[in-house]
Amino acid sequence: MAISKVIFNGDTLMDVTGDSVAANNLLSGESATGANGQKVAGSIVNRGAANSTINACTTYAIQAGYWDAGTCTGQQLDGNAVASQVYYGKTFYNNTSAKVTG
Amino acid sequence: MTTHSALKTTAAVGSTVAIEAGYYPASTVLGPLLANMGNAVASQVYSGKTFYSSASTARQTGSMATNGTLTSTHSSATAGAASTYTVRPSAAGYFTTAITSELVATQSGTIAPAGGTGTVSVNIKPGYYNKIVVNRTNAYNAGTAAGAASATPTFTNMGTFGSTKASRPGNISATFSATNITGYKNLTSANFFVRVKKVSYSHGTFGAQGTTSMTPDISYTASSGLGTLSNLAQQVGSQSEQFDCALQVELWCAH
Repeated sequence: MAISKVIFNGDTLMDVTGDSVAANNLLSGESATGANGQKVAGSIVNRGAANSTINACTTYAIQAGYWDAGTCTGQQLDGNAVASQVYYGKTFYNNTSAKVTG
Repeated sequence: MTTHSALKTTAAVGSTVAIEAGYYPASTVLGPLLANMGNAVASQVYSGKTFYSSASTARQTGSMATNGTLTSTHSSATAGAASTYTVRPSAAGYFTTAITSELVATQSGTIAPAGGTGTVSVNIKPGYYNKIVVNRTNAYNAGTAAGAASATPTFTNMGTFGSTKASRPGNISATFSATNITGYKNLTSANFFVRVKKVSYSHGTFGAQGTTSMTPDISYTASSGLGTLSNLAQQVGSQSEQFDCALQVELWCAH
């Protein structure tokens, strides 16, 4: 039987009935005692750091969970074609975020 | 532990979005949004040059063929004979040569020894040139008598391509025009030229024989735009004669 509150000789020695810890606000791998005195196992996934380069027109998913500090960097375009080297009227990007027309 | 609200943002080209430590609900970070990524494909980009377009989110490499420097070799039939050459591209492709002259290049001078060769290089404006064979036309002119006006050969297509012959010995003179060629630049003298090739030529036996051959290629550039080219003149006969000639008109223009 789980015990959430202990009173001895009129004194409250332990009381977790007011605790709000729950599995979904505790990191996975950690545990605590819930308000009902039951052990609560954490379920928040530790995702680590989000250090990623994101290609153009793609999406990087931040899944629910705990993330360490990190960065997501937009892809640096590094094309070297210039307008005069591309068919007339055709559009493209080279090394900036500005579209170029051949 | 810090609880963050859902993140939905975009990382522009080369820029960084910071992810702070803490809890995130399911979120997304978008890569650079290249609106309407572009419609170029590899075959439309000069070989070896890299670019991005809708064809792929990854960097692409162009594959447009290059013809490099245009050269042409001609023979001289007579030792010491002066020759003039006109050189043209003979295949579609990207020419890399720097701009140092007009599309038409001629070389006059002495090529020796007899039967030797000389090489003429022509520098054309960089760009992709595509040969369009516009039309094959035929002209027939039934001569009557020296100096007499003759029937008018008719050239068609490419707008109008007409030929008149006012006198003998005479010239075929033709004009033609074309506008709004879909997919091509506004045509100027800088990015197109016209070449008229002799496909065949024969003359009959009516009257005295005159010139028995045509210069194989008649080349022209326009002084402005692809409006009307005039003075497409080629002597095709002297005195009275009957002849047939077939010409092929090629329009070369840059995309």
